[in-house]
Amino acid sequence: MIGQRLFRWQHRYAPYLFTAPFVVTFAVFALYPMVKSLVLALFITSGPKSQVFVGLENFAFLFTDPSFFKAVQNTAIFTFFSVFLQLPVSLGLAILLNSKLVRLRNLFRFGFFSPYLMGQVFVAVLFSVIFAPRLGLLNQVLSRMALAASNTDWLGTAGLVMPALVLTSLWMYAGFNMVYFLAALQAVDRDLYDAAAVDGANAFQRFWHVTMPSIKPVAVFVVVLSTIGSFQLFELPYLMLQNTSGPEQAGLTVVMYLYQKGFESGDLGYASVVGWTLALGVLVISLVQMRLAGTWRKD
Amino acid sequence: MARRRLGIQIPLYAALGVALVLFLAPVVWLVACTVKDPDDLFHYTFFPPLGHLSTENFRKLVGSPYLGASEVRDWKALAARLVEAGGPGASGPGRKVWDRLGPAERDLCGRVAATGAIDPAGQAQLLDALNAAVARADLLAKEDLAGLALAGDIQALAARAAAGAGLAPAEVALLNRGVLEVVWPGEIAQGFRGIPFGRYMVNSLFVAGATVLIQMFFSSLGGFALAKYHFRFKAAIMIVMLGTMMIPGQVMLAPLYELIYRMGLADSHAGLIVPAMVSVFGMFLFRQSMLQIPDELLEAGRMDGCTEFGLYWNLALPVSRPMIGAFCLAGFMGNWNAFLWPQIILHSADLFTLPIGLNQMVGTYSQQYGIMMAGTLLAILPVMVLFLILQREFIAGLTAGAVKG
Amino acid sequence: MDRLGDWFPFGKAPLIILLLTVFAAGWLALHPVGRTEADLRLWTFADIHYYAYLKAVPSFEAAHPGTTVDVQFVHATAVTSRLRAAFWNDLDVPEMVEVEISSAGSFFRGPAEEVGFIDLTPRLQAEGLLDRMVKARFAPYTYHDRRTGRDYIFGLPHDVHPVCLAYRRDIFEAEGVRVEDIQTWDDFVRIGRRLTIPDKRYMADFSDKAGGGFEAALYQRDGGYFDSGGNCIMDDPTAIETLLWYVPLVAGPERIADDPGWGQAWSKAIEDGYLITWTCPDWRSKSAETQVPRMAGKMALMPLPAVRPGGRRTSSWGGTMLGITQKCRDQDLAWQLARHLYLDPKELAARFRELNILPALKDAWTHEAINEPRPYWSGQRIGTLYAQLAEDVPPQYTSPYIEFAKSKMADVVSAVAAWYDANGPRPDDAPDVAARKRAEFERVAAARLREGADEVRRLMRRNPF
Repeated sequence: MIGQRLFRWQHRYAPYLFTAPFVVTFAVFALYPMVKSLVLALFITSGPKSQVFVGLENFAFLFTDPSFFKAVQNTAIFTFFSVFLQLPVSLGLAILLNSKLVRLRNLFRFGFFSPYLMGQVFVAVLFSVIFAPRLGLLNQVLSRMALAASNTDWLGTAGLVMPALVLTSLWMYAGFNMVYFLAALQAVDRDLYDAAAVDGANAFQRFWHVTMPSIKPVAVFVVVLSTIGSFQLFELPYLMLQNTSGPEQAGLTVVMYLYQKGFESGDLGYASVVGWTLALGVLVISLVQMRLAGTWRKD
Repeated sequence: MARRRLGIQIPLYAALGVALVLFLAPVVWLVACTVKDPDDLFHYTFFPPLGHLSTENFRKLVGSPYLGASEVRDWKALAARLVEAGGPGASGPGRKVWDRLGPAERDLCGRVAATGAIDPAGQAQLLDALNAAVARADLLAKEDLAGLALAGDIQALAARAAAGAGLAPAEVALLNRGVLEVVWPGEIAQGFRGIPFGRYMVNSLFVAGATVLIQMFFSSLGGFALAKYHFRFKAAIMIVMLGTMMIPGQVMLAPLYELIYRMGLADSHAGLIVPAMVSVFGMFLFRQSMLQIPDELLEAGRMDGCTEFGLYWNLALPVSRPMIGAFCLAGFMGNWNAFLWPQIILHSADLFTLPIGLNQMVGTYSQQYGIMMAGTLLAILPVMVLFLILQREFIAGLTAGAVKG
Repeated sequence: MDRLGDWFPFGKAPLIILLLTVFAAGWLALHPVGRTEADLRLWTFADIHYYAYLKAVPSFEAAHPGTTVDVQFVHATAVTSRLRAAFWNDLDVPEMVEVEISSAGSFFRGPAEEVGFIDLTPRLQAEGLLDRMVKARFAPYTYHDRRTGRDYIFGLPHDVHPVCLAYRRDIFEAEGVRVEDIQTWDDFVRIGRRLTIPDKRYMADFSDKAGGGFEAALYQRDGGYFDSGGNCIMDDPTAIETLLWYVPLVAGPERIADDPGWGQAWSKAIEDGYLITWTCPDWRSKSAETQVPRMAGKMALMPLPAVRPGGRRTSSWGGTMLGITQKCRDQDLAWQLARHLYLDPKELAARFRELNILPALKDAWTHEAINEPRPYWSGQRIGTLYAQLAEDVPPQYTSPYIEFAKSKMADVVSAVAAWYDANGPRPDDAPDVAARKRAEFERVAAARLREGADEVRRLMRRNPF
């Protein structure tokens, strides 16, 4: 039994001690770099010793740079299709899997979920080969079914890069989102279904009026999470396109633009500006999405 | 009733089955690519017939010194060189190899040198004999190596052997094969030296494991404090945490790198682990799950003389186990697959984690699909296995936060 | 296991991870990394160079007792990013590093003293290397500092990489084509149109995505991305002319070229006769020898057709430089190693045998290894051919924005090629329609080039250094 004074002391200071590791690490490895990069945003840098103060000129350049607009456009298109194709697919899979009539549910669940476990890097390596002209799986299958030429260069044709990326991300994340939906579906109160059945609702009406509202919080969560993740897309296109931004910059995303400007061209100040702009965009969109979802909830 | 059930079950299973096939097809193809001979990659979409399965890709990945069929550039020339090496008065490494060939193989060499035709069975026979020779520690004597311009790593091995140190079997084979490459450069292609795949895997294990364990400890401790205590800076901490969660990490890369360097941690595993020691996301997660712990329970504990840390250890942790499990698995997976930060921090090949190591292959060996796919398969296996075993925990933890929160 | 999981406060999953981590830590402790403190560290990004240098280093170490050299293989994309990171933060910069030609320029920013490499000009002049090596090959590694107006040479060129066309001799013979008849590109295109069978056989391997083929054409015409003063010339008349010539060969109904890619797809294309000729700088001839062994004796090389009769019959593709960084303490020793690796004729000859890479040092060209006939190439003395063309190789001027310019150009080429596919003149068009389409094509090409060049210039204007 420890002494009374020690006991009181540790009771009083426990919370500070418990959060100390976090605070220290956070201040050193997160706050300091963040603040430093804010300062950097006002400079053009080119190497360790070369720094020129330019004030807000980086921002001016940013908003007139066609490459940046291309990056924003690509990211927006990717986010839109990725999120809105995900929803029906993962929800559909969850609904199928939720049926009482299904055995081996765990097997199916793991099967759908496993792509997520591979991680963007390895998925990118795998799919860069799958999309390869002639040798790749997709071309081999499609040409046997006579749906596409066998040497379609998916990752080399400007118009096909984005569909390839969307497809890949759909493959990766559908199972992940499905798991959330599945849990949500299984948490729906059975009594609501019974009540609806008593009221004479058919299967579709039960789905629309009972299931959908019940899983809406999860759906919103999934949408917001997917959106934020899509905004930060980098490793998938970067590795699939072999460390480039693809034909006519078709695979250029905002984070890739940041990386290229900051770490391939050396302008860290400009990279900071892009980073902060991205952060702003993420914040705004998330707030908008949550507000929209919240507004619906009121009625 | 049963029929109606069946009426729903069949299309249900059919739909799920089709979906599953679509989802698993790329992974199955991945596995298939790893067991196909490099020359067969074109001929079979998925798996080749059982007789054609080969482990050559895996062997090459780790730098197997033994010869594969695709590494013989010119069979006729090789056979001719062997015959030549067996001629009267010939000496040197070629002679030593010839001496180890059996009469059947010597005949084969003679025939191939004359006609140039050799069938797969003959190739296998000759390769086996060559590899058996290459595996022998007593194949070459010191004089055989004199005057040869050996590659640096081969020369190091030769030096060690000359000094009397015992070489491991793989090293013996590497040395002998390295010598043969120099003696017969036109006939034997330089082996893919392999990448230290085993080391990459262990590096990944260590870094991911250590990082996530430390994260788990600090985050759960901090989350406990945020959930169950009121103290002076609590609100400030939470606001700052919330704010920074929105900011993409890429903003911090360059200043953070400079900082890590000043601390002397660049190009080390510590440089990966230390900045990641606390996870803001984890803090929130644990706070969320620990909010549910009844305060009375904690008070009771205090009455009993339990220290605060004891409360954490004995009361809070067991309750949050699902969350901890999910967090650990997700964190492990995230760390295992991390690319950008390790790419910037790590310079020495011995420290690489799997994503960086594999990326190194992409540029130089991207056309050797088989080897790349072998590497990818091995790289994703640990995480897959871990999740297979711990599936239930993970899903439970994952959804506990989302569904209720 | 479940019981154990209950015992461990954190649960089953962390327990398993803990065990794995402890195992990993133990393994790492038992297999420590041997860090070498070498006097000279050399980074190289090409595995063929890496193996060649590993072989060459022991003799250097023997000649300079007590010195250690550590050659490190760093992945191509990583080497530029790591080098940059190292330069920025004054980190563990290697003493010597090989840099690829397309990224070398990106290091030449700011005042010349602050570029991470040392200026080699004094040493080059002292040994007369500017004349003893192909002069044009210094251009890509030369920095024209606008402030002082002077040129600084930061790299020793490894190679010349003259470009020939490799062709299937047997197909030429079967089709009655004589190599001597192909003197200019007009000849080539004419024969190409005759021999090309869409989707089955193409005359050339030019790509509609820029890259080596287009650049080679641009340089052959004395064009390029930048001029010797660092100005962007991507939209000058030469570039427009090259684009107008190039695009109808890779797009549209009368195309004669298709790019099959690399690796196995490429080998297959050559074996199947899908490509009759293909762009062959010296390094690629070795790729053919190793990756397409079945074509031994059927291939041969010819110089590039000239643009105008009597004109230049080669170009260049690819390149590597060796730089000595400012962090190198013993620069003389580093220079000795550079000379050993790049300027030793015996070494270079052996390397030619192994890699087919013609050295930039002209003294080495007389060595017998470079002039021996090659059975793969139908007995041709390919080294002699490359050496003959080497002096003619056009200079490639560089800039810190070279990478950006190259990617912009690639975009322009593929965009214009796509346009041409959709809107270009067709053989069955009426003459006035064809003329109109042709004029439109010229307009589009010029406009796109100017857009790309303007973006590059915009970026250049932003540079305060």
